[in-house]
Amino acid sequence: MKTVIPYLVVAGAIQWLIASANLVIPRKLRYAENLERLTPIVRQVFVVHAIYIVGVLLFFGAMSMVFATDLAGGSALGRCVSAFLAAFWLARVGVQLFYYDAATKRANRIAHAAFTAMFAYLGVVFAVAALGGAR
Amino acid sequence: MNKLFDVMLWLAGAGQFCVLLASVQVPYRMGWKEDLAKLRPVNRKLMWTYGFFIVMTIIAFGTLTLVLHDEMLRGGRTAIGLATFLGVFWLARVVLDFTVHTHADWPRGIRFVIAHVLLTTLFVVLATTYLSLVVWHVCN
Repeated sequence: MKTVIPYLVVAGAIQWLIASANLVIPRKLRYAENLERLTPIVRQVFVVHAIYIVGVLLFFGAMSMVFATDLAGGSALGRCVSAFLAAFWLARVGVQLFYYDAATKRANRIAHAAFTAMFAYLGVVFAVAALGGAR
Repeated sequence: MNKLFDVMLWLAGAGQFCVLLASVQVPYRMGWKEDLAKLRPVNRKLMWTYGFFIVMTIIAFGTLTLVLHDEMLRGGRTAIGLATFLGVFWLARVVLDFTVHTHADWPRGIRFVIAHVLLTTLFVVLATTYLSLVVWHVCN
């Protein structure tokens, strides 16, 4: 169980890093001019979803650092949260590889590789934690 | 008090699946397909990705609340941390409802008025349940 704890703390930092990337992405992908074309309600849904994703990532990051022992198998609740986080991040790897726009990924190869590696790391670490932390 | 939170947590778990019943109708009722066609592909896909992950998160919230009902009721450290986050998550949704998602921007019609009132009430109940659970555990 203890083996995975430092990796969970790093996972927390990575999730904060991904959350902070959301400060740059709106400008990089020109959200403002794109969202102007939408009806107000759909524009608002987009903005609210974006805010919530950042909030959720900040919480996941804090939880990974503060409750690393529980997430690594110290409690049933912790392991269930780890299982959810593993599914969340492994699904994110799939989205990054098979769904996101290929032209944008080609134009931002380094960012694409870095994000994919971070998502994969998070998926694997939380999966190991959910299984009991590689006792 | 224990009995009250016992029932409230079951309702909160189920309530989050009720939010999902509304969520699955949003793209159709709000005309996402036509609206999102105006975006660049990268932003369109981002919108669907955000939506997918928000739905996944709410499924997890509902499932964790129902499956780990007893742990949340007992109130260990992780349970209090999780309940705090869930309370803030839904409280923020209530605040956004009165600031960003005001009814003026919703589609017209009595069905949407009813849907909006029901959804906001549900968000208030969810926020109240989790935050009052945290206060109860902290005070005990």
